Amino acid sequence: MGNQNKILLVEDDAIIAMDLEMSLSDLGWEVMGPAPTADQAFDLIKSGLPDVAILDFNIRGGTSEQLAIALMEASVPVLFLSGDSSATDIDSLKECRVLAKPVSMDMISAALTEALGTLS
Amino acid sequence: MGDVSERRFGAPSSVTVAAPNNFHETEWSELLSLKDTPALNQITALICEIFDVPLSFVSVIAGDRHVYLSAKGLAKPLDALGQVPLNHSFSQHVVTSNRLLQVNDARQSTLGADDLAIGGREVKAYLGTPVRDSDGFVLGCLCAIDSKPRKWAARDIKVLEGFSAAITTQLQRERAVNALSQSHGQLAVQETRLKRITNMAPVMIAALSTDLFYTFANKSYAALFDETPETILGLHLREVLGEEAILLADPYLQKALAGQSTEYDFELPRSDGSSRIFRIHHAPELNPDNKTQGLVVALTDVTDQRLLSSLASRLEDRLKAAYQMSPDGFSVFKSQRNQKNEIVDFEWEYVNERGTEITGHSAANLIGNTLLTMMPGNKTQGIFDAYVDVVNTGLPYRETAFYEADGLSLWVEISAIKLGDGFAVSYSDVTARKQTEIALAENAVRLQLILDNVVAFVGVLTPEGILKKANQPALDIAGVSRADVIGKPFWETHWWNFSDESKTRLKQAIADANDGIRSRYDTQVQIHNGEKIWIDFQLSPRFDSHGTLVEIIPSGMDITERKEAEAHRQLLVDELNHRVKNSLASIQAMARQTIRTAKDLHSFETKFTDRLKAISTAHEILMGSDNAKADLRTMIDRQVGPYIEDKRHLKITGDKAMLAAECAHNIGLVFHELATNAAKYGALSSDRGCVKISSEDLGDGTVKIVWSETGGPPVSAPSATGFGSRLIKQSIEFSLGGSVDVDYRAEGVVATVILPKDFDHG
Repeated sequence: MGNQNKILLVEDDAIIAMDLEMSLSDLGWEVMGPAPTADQAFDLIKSGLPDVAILDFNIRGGTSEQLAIALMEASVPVLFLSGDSSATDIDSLKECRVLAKPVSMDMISAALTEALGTLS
Repeated sequence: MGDVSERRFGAPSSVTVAAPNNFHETEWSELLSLKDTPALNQITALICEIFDVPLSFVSVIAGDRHVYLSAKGLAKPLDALGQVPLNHSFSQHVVTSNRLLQVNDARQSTLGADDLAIGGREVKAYLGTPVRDSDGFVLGCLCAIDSKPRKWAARDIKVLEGFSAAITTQLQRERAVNALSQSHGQLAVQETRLKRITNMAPVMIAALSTDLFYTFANKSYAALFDETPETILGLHLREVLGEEAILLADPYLQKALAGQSTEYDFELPRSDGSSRIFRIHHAPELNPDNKTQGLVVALTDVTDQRLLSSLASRLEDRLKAAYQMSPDGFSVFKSQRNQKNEIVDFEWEYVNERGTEITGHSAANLIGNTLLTMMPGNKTQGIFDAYVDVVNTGLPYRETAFYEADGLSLWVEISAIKLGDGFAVSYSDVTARKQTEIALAENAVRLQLILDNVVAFVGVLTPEGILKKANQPALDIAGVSRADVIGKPFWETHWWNFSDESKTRLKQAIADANDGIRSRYDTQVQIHNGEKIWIDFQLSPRFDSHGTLVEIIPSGMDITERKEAEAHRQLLVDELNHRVKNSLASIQAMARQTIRTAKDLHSFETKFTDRLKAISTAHEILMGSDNAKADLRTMIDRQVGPYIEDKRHLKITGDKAMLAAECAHNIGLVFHELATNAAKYGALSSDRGCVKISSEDLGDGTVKIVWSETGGPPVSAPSATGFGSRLIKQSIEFSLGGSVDVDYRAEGVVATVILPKDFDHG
């Protein structure tokens, strides 16, 4: 891709976060994060919004739902990663794609393309 | 006459005709009984023979016609009664004139010119004489008729008159025989009938001569004195009744003999000691001269009637009906009082048959005796005092009592009311019923005990869902009283009225029960202080033998513990699911990262397998503990131990620490990375090297762990940050929010970790 689109990555598991960061960089994304908590993610986006976000649903201290709402309101498409079957009860988030862990980079890549395409 | 006789020709022979006006009914039937008798037919035949005439007959005048009693030589048959219209002037003349008529040539006769033919015969000469009864009364005539003129001789006249007299005799004889047989028959019938009637009648009848000997008695009368109608005949009244009775009866007997009917009651002692009351009628039997020729005696047994009517006059209608219809024992008592007018006992006046069965005494024994003589148990059992109260207060007494006295042992239901100076009482043996009741009550108590102790909730509902019963534990646990809930719709009671959903579900289950469907589901009910418990709830319809819904039985077992265990299990399953998925994702990431730095497939496999083992070991330690926490010391032993060839190469000191799951997983991998690095490049790659691990509980939920290597080859900081060192940093700082500092000193690596030991976000 190489167009240096910015992607926000929120994931509290160190290994997964490291892996995703490296894999997304390899695909040409400029990765914001990874952030292990919503607070740290909010800090990151103060300096500028990403083009898209991948959020682990269950993160340290709760869920990433409030962060997702803020991003959606700012027209940033959101992809959820989830380790279990728990889903959001918030209507405005129901259109967000949820990818179940473990997930391949091909699936992530396809979902990101789709999310950006939907938005534009 | 042709038309008329033609019409009667061949009429049925059974026709009878009412007596004509000129005959008495009896006479007429007597005459008809002579018709065509051998005697008359013989006479008319003899006349034809003797006089040599073709026709002879005997006829009587019946109103306007002749009736032939016998005829010889008629050319045409006559009708059944043998009658022709009265236009036969010769015979008519004989009857009306009451004299002999002799016609020698009919053509010259001034009489009966139109009477020239009779029954198809020409009449040329006629000789007729009256037929009379024994009193001389003319009934008809006997005649001889010739078809040619002839001069009748004097001898002919004598013969004909002789035959007429013979007919008179015959008629008289016939009458006498008839009268005799008739009166005989009547007498016999009357006698039989009288006997039958008198024997069938409930009345006892006898007839006595004036000197008081029996001349007649019917069966029932005779049986009264152990006689038969035959054996009693000829006995004297005294022999049958006895002296004493005769004296009593004498005035009435004398009165009857004097011609006057009398009536009186008489108590007749029986051989079994009892006595019966009879109503006695005496009537004089009068002969046709109105003189007394004997006595007629009629008796009716009025014992029951007298008793009933005397009772009936005293009893209420209701009680009478009860007495007559009830299968209960029934007695009437009269008070016996002492000089102070206090009731001391009761005299038995009456007892019905059932009463004798229950008391076990015959009526003869009871009546006239007293209650306390016959059944003293009434005093000890307190029933006697109750009867005294009935008489004194007029209030009825009703009781079901266990009577155990006087050889009896039974439950008796007593109902007594005041009756004059005494009382009437009905009593029935209800032992069987009472025993069933007692058994039922005992069962009910036993059942209640079982229900109260075993089941958390059990009750009874009407088919409409109204609560009729509830067990004590159900009330206790909800902190309500029976009055709070009984009679209410079940869904409006304390247990259910905390949520519309639970009410609706319950109403549906009650509706289902009405359709015969049993419901069973887990639900919450409200107990005291608004707390809820889970119950395994059942609603079972109960039908009677006709298939009608009688009641609905709700029941519930407390399954709160089970529900909590279920919830806990679900939590664990959810947790496990989450962890497994995260583990897989994390292994996937680790595999990708390992691939990035591997020189070849073999080195990838070795590194990846070692890292998987490290994760697996951390997991094993957690699972092997009671509280899902890992002991730090065990973790070091298991993760670092495999790289230590000599125990002297590893020194562990410091505080003991228990690590939560997330923390344990991460530190496990960190120890693994530090150990492999030391084995490859550091202290554990040399025989003289040593690793010291110290732990210090910092008291704020964190533990400080220092890993320091000595005695290994000289260390230089890695040129690029490899996966291992990045993994160490990220695992502690990123994942756990702790801190880590790795100092690549020349004399050996020193890693200082601050670890939040309870960290476990799940």
